[in-house]
Amino acid sequence: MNKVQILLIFLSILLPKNLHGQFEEPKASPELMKLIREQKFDVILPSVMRDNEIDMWIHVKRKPDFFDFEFGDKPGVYIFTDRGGNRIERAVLGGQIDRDLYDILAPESSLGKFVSERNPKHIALNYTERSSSFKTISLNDYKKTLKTLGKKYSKRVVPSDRLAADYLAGRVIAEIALFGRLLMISTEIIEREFNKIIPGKTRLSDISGNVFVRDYNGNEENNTDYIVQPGDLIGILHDANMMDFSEHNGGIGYVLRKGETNLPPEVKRIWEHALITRNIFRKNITAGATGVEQLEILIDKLEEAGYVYIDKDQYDKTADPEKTQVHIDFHAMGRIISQEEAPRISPTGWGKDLKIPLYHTFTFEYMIHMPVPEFGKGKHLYICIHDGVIVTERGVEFPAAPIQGIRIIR
Amino acid sequence: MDRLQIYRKLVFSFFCLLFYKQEVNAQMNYSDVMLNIGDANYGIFDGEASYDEEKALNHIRRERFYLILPSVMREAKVDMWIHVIRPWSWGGTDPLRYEFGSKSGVFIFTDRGDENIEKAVFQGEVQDPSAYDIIGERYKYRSQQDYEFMDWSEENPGESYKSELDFRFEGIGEFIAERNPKRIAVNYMETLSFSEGSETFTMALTDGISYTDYIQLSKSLGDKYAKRMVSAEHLILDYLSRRVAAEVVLYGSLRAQGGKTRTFDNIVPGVTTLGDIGGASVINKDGNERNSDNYLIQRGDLIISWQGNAYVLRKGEKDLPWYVRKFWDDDKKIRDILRRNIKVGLTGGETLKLIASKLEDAGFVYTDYQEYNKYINRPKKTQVHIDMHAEGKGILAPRISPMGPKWHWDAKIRLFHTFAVEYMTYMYIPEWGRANNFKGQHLSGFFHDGGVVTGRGMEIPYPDRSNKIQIIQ
Repeated sequence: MNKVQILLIFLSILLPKNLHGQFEEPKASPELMKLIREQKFDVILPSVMRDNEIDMWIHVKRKPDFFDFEFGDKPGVYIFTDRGGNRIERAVLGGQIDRDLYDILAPESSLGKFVSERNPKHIALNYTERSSSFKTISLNDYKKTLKTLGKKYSKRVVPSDRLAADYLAGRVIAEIALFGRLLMISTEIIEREFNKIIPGKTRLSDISGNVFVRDYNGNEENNTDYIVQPGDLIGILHDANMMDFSEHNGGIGYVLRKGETNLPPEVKRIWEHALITRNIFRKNITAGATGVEQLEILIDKLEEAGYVYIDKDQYDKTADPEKTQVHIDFHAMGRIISQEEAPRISPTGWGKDLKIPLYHTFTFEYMIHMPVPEFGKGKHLYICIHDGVIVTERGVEFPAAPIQGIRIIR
Repeated sequence: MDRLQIYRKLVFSFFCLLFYKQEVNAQMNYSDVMLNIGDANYGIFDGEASYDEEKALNHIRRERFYLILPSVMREAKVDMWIHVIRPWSWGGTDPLRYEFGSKSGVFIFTDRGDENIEKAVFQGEVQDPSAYDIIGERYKYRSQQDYEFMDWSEENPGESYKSELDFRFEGIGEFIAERNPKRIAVNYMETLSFSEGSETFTMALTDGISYTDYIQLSKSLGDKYAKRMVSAEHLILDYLSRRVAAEVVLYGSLRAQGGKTRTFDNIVPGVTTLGDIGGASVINKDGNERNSDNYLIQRGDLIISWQGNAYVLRKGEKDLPWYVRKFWDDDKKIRDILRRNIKVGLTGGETLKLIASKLEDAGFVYTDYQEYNKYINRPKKTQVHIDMHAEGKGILAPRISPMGPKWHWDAKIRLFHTFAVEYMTYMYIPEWGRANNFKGQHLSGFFHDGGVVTGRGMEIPYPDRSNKIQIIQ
């Protein structure tokens, strides 16, 4: 064996293990996309249309839009009609489609006749009366559609935003599996990013993701050139995606100070609060309530357990200085057009009035502001937990392992 | 050797080493605690997954302790569950080694009325100690043949080491008496048998404790509590048969990239052989199967493979013949019946009855036999056989099937039940019958995909077998 061959052996041993393994995000194969679309049409569509009292949903699509994931990426007038029975009729007028997914393909010129034959009472159309990402129809198409529908049916047209938000929020089992897989991937990525940190050298901007540190006064450095220092509690949020299905996940690290060999007592204490509050959330979230109703329940439970709920992610100097403060923003993950326009257990966002559906995939995103009186008046520690969860008949489940603790950075 | 040859050799060596390296890494990842993981037919843990298996197992274990353990113990009216895994057997066939994360120990789960069950382990090594509330005396057993024992003997000259039987249940009596349980489930079998329990016939699903252990445990418990021991067999099966969402994630995501539809391009009828395309067989226009590599693909042949199918049009044909189209239309109808009628809460047997009746209502013939029944007096109807057994843990129950022992059918379908959507269809084709002297020639299909039962019915976690038919002109 010559020297070059020996060198190659060493090089190959140094190669990272599982070269194509852990961080690889799944591919949106045509088979998987077809399965998800088909299952959503079968399992989710009938219930969301009936819940919203819509018997026809028209989605005019001229170019790729956010519903490519659910409907396919071809332009056309997508029409879903509740004609009774177990399923919803699926039609596309004036488009090219997967014939296995749709029942009817017809020319767009037949729109008026198509609608009148079905005589729907409530027609949802992809426009909104407010500023919204769900407004995907052009003004021209909006006017043209109403004209084609005629006086009788155009009066029955309502915005589809609520229905569309509910449809996006509904998860089939293949999406739940995908959500869990993505959570595992982002957890691995976060670990990799923590492993990069060299105290005194690494800047927050050197780390991939949303990286932040807050001092004892609540001042935040976020993805800046701030250099990581001993005593810092660092939060990293990182995402993983498959096409437009995305999630993000969080991790927390503490940089040991000189002489420290383990987490200091106040850091251990704030972690304990993270676990206690996690259990409160886990036991008190059920499907069916709206985000805002659910928030009220959680606030009561937090306060019963001795916490102060804060509606902003900011330490409240006027609150009881003995009590730990908790902020909540349990936003949806997976298929969301935005955090604001999806079911949300949070004090903010249009989506807080939407119902939390069964198998809702969302995040346990909560922030703990814990007073540390020994450091001085108003001084406090801050951590942000961000774990992916799903609500099932049994309560809240973790489809993948949540954060296991505050990792030590030496 | 010229420079090009040297270059070629180097590139070759590099790639050989690269693949060798991947293999070595895989072996190094094979955690000792989880040895035999592949042998156990657990399905989702094979040592080669793209995720960290140990983390996944630890997480699943905790979720199961939190979400499933209280309900199975309360439903079985058991307030203490003792599970003994003998250290010298290395947990090789114990069905709960993944659930408990150990290959040896005495595991005691006590319902003390709290939301969670108290979890204790004695004389054991566990992979994830933080999943337990109490870690008792650590594993004291030492084989008298190994080096640990030789070291001990050297350090303690003249003393004889106690037998493991002297300490395996040490202190357990007091621990149990403090908790005063009414019914103590212990891992011995009472009414079931080995072969009934396991998919592989290698896992003693409900049997674990030896006679000697039973005697030792009884002694340790004393008369009062020994009398309260009952078999844990149904409790164990119930615990194994239930799933948490994290298990569904593994079940679904591992195969999510599979199921790619195969296409059969460049086939020239009368020229291309089955050997040329590989991995497929043919049913010819007369309904006879051909699978020899030398077989020349003909017009009118239906090419069948696991990943996709194709039909070679006959002269004058413009579309698929009626029987091919009907076969796949029937399949859609069958799947729809399955999807709408497999529900949480029914037993496997009740579900089978329900599906059989729905199939009959839809114009099919349900058959208990896994073969075409030519004596059925409704020859024009497609026959359907079902064997939808559980998947993921090497346990077949709950089973929606005429096969297996009664308890497989009696087991209830639980939330997130993961199972094989396994069924067979047999469709009689008169043209084939005529061509073969009415010997019962039929078109048959064997389907084996994955399913998960949710509160909404049967759902599909990963792309199933392709039912696409490519038409070859």
